[in-house]
Amino acid sequence: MAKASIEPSGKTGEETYARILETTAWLIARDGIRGMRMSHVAAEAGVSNGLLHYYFASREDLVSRAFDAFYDKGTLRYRERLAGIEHPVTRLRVELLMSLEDHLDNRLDWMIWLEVARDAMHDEGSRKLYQEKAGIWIADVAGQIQKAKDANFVPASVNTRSAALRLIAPMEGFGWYVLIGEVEWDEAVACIDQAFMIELGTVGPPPPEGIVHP
Amino acid sequence: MAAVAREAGVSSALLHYYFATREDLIRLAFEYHETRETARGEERLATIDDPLARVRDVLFRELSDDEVVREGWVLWSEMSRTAIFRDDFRASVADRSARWVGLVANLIAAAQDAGRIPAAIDPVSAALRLTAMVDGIGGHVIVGSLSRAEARRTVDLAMNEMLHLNPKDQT
Repeated sequence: MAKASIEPSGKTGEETYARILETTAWLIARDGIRGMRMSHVAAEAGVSNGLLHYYFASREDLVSRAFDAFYDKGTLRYRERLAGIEHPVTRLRVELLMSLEDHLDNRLDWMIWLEVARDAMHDEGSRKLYQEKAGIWIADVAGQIQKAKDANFVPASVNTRSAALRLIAPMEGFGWYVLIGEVEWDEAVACIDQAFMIELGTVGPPPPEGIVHP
Repeated sequence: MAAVAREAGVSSALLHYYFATREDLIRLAFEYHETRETARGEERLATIDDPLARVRDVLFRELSDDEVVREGWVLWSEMSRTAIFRDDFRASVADRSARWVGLVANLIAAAQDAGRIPAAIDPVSAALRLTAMVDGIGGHVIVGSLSRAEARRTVDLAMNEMLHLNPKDQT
């Protein structure tokens, strides 16, 4: 990823920079990528247009770095939640189910993720962002399934990438359904949980540690 | 909207006379698309005898390499995005989803009656999981992060798992 040659320095600079990225993600959720204006970001983040343009070479640059920061922040939130859970099947189950818990963080996550997915149908920049992050997500889930296979919790016959796709694709579908209000969050969690048991061929539920489940 | 007016060979003024905003235009295009696709789907299903093959047909239709299907994905994602904020759009998208999940559930139930799918499966729950999967995977195909072939294989395997199918029984 090409970074601008000028990076913010000092604590205040870093805070401002982070606030701009967070504001951008929020405005992408609210107004969509097409509707997001740099002048709105500047106003909402409380910085001058000049400073915003000093940090970010272009609108594309801003969107791309905001999406990266958004993704990293999500990863951190998941890591915190998964800390201390050892069982590889439970880890994966918690990771998948927590994204469909009825929580403001999740609502925002899905709004941003699916907005980039939508825009990726038309826009080359969004396509690159979405393909990259979707690829990382699929590889991450596949890697965890592999670990569960290595530990003999999941049958060796399960194809890791294929099973990962069969879990992630319906989650994105449910992401839309819950945002629109067609399906309740807890119903989506229950459906993904059922899919989880079926796709991974696990016999009986794994230990319930860390599961917040309706 | 200017691009639509140009392509359709009408004046911008006439287009704005019929459609107040870009969102209205998209909503009506979406509803038009849905009506047309529903009619086409019914025609196709009438030519398929095997009830299991009918389930497969409606799911795989959304993953076919077809300009109309692609259009449908673009319209649906635009609509869904707007529906997060607007009730009138939500009704339109919810209507489509209810029909789509209902159709798959009915076809699963019919295949159960014909002994092609085990009776123990809950048709509505299985239908919801399968449509969510197709709705999720379709975007990846349009964006190009997943090949059409891999998407089809994925849905095929999911069908086997969700509907407890024996791969040998399939047509």
